[in-house]
Amino acid sequence: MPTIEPNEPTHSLSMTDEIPEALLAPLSDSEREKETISRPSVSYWKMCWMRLKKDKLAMLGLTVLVIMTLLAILVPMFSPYTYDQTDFAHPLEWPSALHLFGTDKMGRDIFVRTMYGARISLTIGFTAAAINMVIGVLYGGIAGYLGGMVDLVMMRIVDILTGIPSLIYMILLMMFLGNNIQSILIAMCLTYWITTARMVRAQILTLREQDFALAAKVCGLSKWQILIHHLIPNSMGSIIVTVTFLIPSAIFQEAFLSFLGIGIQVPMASWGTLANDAIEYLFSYPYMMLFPASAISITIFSLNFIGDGLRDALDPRLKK
Amino acid sequence: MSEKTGETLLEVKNLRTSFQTDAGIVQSVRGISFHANRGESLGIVGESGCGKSVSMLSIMRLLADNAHLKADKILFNGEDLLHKTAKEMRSIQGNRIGMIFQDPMTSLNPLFTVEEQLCNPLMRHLKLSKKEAKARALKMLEDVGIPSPEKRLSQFPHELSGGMRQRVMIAIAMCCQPELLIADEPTTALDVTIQAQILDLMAHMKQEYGTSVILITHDLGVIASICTRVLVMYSGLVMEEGSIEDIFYRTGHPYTAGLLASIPKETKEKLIPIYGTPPDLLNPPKGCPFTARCPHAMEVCRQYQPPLVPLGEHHSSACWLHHKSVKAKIGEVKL
Amino acid sequence: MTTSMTEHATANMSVTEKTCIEAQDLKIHFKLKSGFFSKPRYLKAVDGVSFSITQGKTMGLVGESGCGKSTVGRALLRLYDPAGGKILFNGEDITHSSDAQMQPYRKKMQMIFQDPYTSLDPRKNIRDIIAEPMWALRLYEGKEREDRIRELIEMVGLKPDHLNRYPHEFSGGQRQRIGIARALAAEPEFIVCDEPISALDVSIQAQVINILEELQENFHFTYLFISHDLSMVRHISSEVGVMYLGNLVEYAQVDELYDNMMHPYTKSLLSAVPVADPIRASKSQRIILQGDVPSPIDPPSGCPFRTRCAYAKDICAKEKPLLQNINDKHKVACHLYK
Repeated sequence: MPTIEPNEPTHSLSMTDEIPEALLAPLSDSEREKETISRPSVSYWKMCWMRLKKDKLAMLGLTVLVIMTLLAILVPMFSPYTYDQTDFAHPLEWPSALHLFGTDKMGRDIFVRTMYGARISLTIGFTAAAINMVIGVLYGGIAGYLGGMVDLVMMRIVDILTGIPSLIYMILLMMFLGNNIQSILIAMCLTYWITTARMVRAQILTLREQDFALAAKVCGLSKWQILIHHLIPNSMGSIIVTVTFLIPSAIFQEAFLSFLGIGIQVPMASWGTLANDAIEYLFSYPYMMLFPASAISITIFSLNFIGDGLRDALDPRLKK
Repeated sequence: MSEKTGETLLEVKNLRTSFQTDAGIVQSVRGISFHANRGESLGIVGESGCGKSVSMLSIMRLLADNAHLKADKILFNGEDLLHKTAKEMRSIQGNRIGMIFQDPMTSLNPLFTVEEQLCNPLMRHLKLSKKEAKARALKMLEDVGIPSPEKRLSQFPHELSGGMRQRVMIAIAMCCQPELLIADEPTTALDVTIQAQILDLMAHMKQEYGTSVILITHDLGVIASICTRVLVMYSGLVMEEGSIEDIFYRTGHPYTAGLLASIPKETKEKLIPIYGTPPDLLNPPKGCPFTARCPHAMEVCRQYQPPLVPLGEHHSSACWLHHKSVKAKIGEVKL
Repeated sequence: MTTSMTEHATANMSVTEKTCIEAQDLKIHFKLKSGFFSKPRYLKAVDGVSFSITQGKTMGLVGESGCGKSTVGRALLRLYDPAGGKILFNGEDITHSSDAQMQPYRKKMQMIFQDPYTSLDPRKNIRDIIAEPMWALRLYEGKEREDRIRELIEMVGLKPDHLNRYPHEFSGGQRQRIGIARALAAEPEFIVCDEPISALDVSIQAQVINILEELQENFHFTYLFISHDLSMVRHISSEVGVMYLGNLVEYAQVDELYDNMMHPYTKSLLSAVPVADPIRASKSQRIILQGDVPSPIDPPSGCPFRTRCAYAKDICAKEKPLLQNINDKHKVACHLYK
């Protein structure tokens, strides 16, 4: 229980005291401000930011993510080495001042490669999440708002798509399109939007029954205007939370594909390929695995913390 | 119980409850004192957010974790409720003090049948056997006017209508024969014809079991039909206290007068509303909270909170209009 | 003498005053969720309701929850598709108008909602909320629009510097007034007030009612005032309809209804209202109805009220009573009056 000491109402004038003449003057209308609102005006998003700021874990996650992004951008730009620069004179060197994370079997600098991998992993994570958000919001929004037969058909399609094991067609697609970032993104976009779409549909279904949606119809807004101006903005909170959780799973999926050797190909570096490279030296040169694996873990942890924080900040009712 | 009628059953002195929220500290109840006598029905009236429900939850110690409770004393039947442990309180809640809430759907547990919800308190508090409890539950359902009670016992709350659920709530609240029944807006969610049934039932139960009732409502009509004494609350403070006749015919506070004037009469004359909005309890005003909306407001009202002063035997009001200096200057004000 | 004068006046007015909105045998049925192959079942929310409201007048519609009174109000604004009957607005048939065809009428027909907490979009500020009808219906532009918004917010007793705030910062009564300002923005002729005061505190209810009355005096609005608060309906209406289970059971001029109520349901409904006067409350006799309102999915045969009616006869189960004229100001649907 927090200790709160509320201010006491002032009783300093008792019934037996004389009231001075000056205090008996009636108050004018302007002195009795009837419609004042004493709280400062805050929009929904500002309020959410204020709540998020109080969440220490989420703020830690956000800081780590920002630092990771900055490193991913800056390190490959200013480092003396490039990600694919081999140096057969110094293979498999343990971490030192020269090579912060050591070098791999071809003498490539693992620090630069990890940060270059961050570029690829983060790009894939954020792009996949953004594309899936757009598809999911549109699909779910349309299904939820039009309802009836359209909704029925659209949701059955979703059910069928979920039924197909994603790994199978991802592998097929990678074989077909080649191993590069674009094909990983395409593979992920095929089904990742389903979670978002389902969530958006459920949200729209409840929101469209709310009085403000009805009020918008009375005001003469068309169905699409109501969807775009009222229903989607009101489900934005939950959409953002879902998407925040999509990012780490996209990063993880890419790492997993690359680790299996069907994702990004060497000499290009992603966290998955780095881990794949390191697996044969796991016991003799464990640092090779340590750094990329830590990078994955730290990033995914950070994103999950941010997601949890956002969920509580955007909808405080869900907070335990 | 009749020989004890009129004795003080519940006494509350200087109760303050505040909540820690995202926006700051909300002072919901700001120092109220009152009592309830045995066998009477006390009405607490006020608008939403005036602290009427919070003060009852404070007495029952049913507040959320972010609440802070302070009081000089809370005596129930001479026992100090303020310093009881949570476990000791549980033997009082639902046993010696029954509660009915506004929304019977959320206060009944949707996962349990009526029988389980009725028998649990009987078995826990009165240590009845399962069979005895069931017999008692059946009788209670009959008493609250539920047709074919055997069938209802095995039903779930969602299978009952709103009025029926509220009857079940009353049965649960009354099954241990509590000394005090706290009813928090028991009819607000119901239609008028069902409200009439429930009010009738409450009056009947009070007669039959001799229970004291504290009825929280915003509806002066409900107060007029079943209460004997009334407490008018505003912004976490008691504005006026008195018998039902005092409140309706010898009104002693401009807020009470304003409430009465806002009710439509049978003539078509224009309503006299109370203009404005109640103050934000995040930052309550220094003086009388009603100042901004009061037609009689003076400078003194803005600076000092008036104390509750007696106007009659059981009638008191917190308003500077009753101060001798004010009377000397502008005379008695007709409210 | 006074009666002859008013009769004379009404006779005169009927020549000059025209009907604003009219419902003829209006039926609204909702399809219930049922199995894929089973016969669809319908909830008859409104089952043949007829009335008309004269321009500049207020009709009160009372009844218990689930009686279909809100559905009637929403159907008049074509938020639902009628299953039968007709809706006439200023003599024009709008029963089956499409969304696009309704567009010109949206300007003239507005609505005030029951719950001020859900009827304002929480993500929009007050300026955007009030501007919405003007934006959607292309009324006023630029500075003119801003001036109009400021005028509207002051009309409902709030201040222009509140315009940048968000709904959650206002109290219930203030929000309801914002809802009124939004309804006015379209310059309506007819406003459906769907329980506009039932979510508000007593002290605030009178504020809202006074605003509605002032606006009617100044702009000659026509209201359909839906409420379960019978004393407020008496105060504001000129005609009152009483609904039970999707049917209009009594319809009369306001004083005629309250002084000379005929339908057993109206009588018990009125006697159930608690009076805020202890002396009168102790004297008044409440007629307490037994049981609950039957389900509208499976309504009783014949008269819908017969299951709770103290005067029910054999005929009540067989034949549904029709709304018939008792005199020129009073109609009732009951077998007791034949």
